[in-house]
Amino acid sequence: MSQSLTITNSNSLAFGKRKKFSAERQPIRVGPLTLNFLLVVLICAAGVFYIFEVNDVATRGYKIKELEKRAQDLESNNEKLKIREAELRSMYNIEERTKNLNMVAPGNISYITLPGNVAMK
Amino acid sequence: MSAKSKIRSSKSNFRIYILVFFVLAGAAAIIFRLYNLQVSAHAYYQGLADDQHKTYEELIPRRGEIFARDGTGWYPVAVNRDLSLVFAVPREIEDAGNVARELAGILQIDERELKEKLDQPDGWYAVVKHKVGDGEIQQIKDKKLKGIYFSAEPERTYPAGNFASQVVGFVGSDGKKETGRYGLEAFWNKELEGTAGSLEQERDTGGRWISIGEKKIQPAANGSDLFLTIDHTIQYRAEMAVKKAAEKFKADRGSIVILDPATGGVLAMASVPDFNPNDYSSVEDISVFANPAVSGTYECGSIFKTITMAGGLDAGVVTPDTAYTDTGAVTEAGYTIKNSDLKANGVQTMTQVLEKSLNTGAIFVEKGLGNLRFLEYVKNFGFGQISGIDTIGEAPGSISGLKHMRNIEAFTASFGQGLSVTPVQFAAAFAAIANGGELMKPHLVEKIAYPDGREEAFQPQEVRRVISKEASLDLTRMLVGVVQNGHGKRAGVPGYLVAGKTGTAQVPKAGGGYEENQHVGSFAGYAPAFNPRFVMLVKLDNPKNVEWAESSAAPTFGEMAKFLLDYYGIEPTEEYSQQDVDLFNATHDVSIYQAPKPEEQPAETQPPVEEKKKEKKKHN
Repeated sequence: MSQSLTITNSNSLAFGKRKKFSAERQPIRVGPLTLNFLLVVLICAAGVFYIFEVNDVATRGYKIKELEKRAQDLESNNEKLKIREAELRSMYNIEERTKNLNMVAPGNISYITLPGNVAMK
Repeated sequence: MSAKSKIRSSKSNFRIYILVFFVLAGAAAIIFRLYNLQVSAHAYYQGLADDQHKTYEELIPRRGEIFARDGTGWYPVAVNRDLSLVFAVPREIEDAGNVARELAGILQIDERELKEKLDQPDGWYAVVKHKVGDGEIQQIKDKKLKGIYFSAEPERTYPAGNFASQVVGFVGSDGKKETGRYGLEAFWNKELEGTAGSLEQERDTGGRWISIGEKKIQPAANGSDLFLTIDHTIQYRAEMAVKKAAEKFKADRGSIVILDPATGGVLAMASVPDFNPNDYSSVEDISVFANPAVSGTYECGSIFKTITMAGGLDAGVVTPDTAYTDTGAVTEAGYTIKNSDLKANGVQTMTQVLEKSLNTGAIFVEKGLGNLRFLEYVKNFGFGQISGIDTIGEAPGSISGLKHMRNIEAFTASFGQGLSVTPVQFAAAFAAIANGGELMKPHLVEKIAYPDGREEAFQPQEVRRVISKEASLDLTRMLVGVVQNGHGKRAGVPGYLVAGKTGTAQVPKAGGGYEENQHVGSFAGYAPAFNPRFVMLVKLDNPKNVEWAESSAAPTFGEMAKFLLDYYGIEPTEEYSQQDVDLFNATHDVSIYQAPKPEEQPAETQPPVEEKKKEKKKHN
């Protein structure tokens, strides 16, 4: 008997070639042991899956928290800028700043009446 | 051992290994998860457990803001700024001396006092400083001091400083909590402050909150925003005008009230002296907090003749052309009442009574009306009662003397003596004349915006019809005469018809009689006279270098009226010459409304631009 096992197509009718295995091979039996084994595997897989999920949720939670903080910071910054804008837009401030700009106040205003019946502004 | 049993044993070993592998993998995963929870995410869960800041934010409502009209948009007059409270947990501090030194330097506080606070090894909490700005907070954070913490603390701030300070008021502590004090902040406090939230949380046996226990939070409802009828630009100009006038005439106090006669909306309400609400604690005389335009009463003087005349015209007792003979004095109950110019003018029409401001003429009209009817008109114009303006501290003034139905009191009241009014009351009464005889309720808030996005606009409220439209038109013609021919000339603006009346009133003494050398100069009027866009009252208390209001309040009115007519883009209705404009410019302080002519600019104060630039460079 050679050391190597030649595997041929079981339907081969070629002469001198051996069949791969005998026809009396045992069918796979599904007993309580197999079920237990499958159960353990399933539980473990579910556990691993759970851990990954929880970790993923935690990571996303971090991201949300970070984004929330960023939004809050931006909002607060926006509020500060609004106040600064209001300070700069104040008439007191504008007039104070225009003092050194050599600006000229408007003189007498002339109103031009346009001919025609249509009122224009 | 047989081969069969060998195979079985290696098979069972294999199964055990697999089981062990899974058990170990499970354990590793749990350890990994625990590591994640307790080490990596420690800060996150710690924060989640005692999320004081978030809870605080949810429970404390944000105060509503106040806006003034600004062109087509709105200008924020009162807003909230987020500052920080710096606090310490003394038991976590290792070197109190060092921490105190570092903090005292940044926060400008007493180092020794702070060290005492921090140097308590069992202490849980000590306030270092309230309302600290971002710059300082960053500096402290950079120092990485152990045991020093921060929490948000909102502060009311007024970006434009003194702008409309007496109208808006401020937020300060009443001993228990921060609340609106004075002005709109106080009157509308309930709407502005919102409703605080509530927190239900389990406590342990020691009464401490269980931070991971169930929390039931009823979040706070934020305050509503107020949108005012006040116009940013007009209010600013009015503030500048009253400041300049008070300075120029050395007046003790002054007020300008500008209303929209059609709606009663206040366009400006400016007074001096005023204050900066951002720094109200440094104000020495707290009487400046009140708004003198609504709470300051005064005897208004001759300006009141307009009201008397309105009654006379409406009742049909007089017409603008009704004549009487002015003998210069009226004697009643042993008193002799004279004209202010001490002259007897002979036959005079009612128009001339207003133009020359004749006391005897006002008495003539009052006599025609009778004391009871006169009192009715005075009441109907809103005197002796609050106008109901939507701000705090309004005074009703007093017309109690008139209720005695004695001639002498009614006579003096006919030219504005012996009764007291507030500036807003008088402006509203004048607005009724400008508005065809209908008295509108003066108001400051145009609309309110609730935190849920709803908006409620306040419709103008008509109080009552005081005089007929015809009477109001007659009176307007007479008041235009006062500005064109009478004492109010300097209130006029070239090219426009301005209606108005001056008043120079004496100041009553506490014990009776009148102060010598003290008076209140005022001018009330509106323009354009027959299609008025604004009604304005200018009042200056005790101007020193002028005797009559025609030289103080009237020119201030003219300057402001010129600005308003230009600001609203109202076309001139009357012919006018360059000479009129030159005269106006010469007799009024137009420096902030009109550019000085080039030849008037002194050369030395206006160096050429090139030179200026060079100078700047040198400084740099």
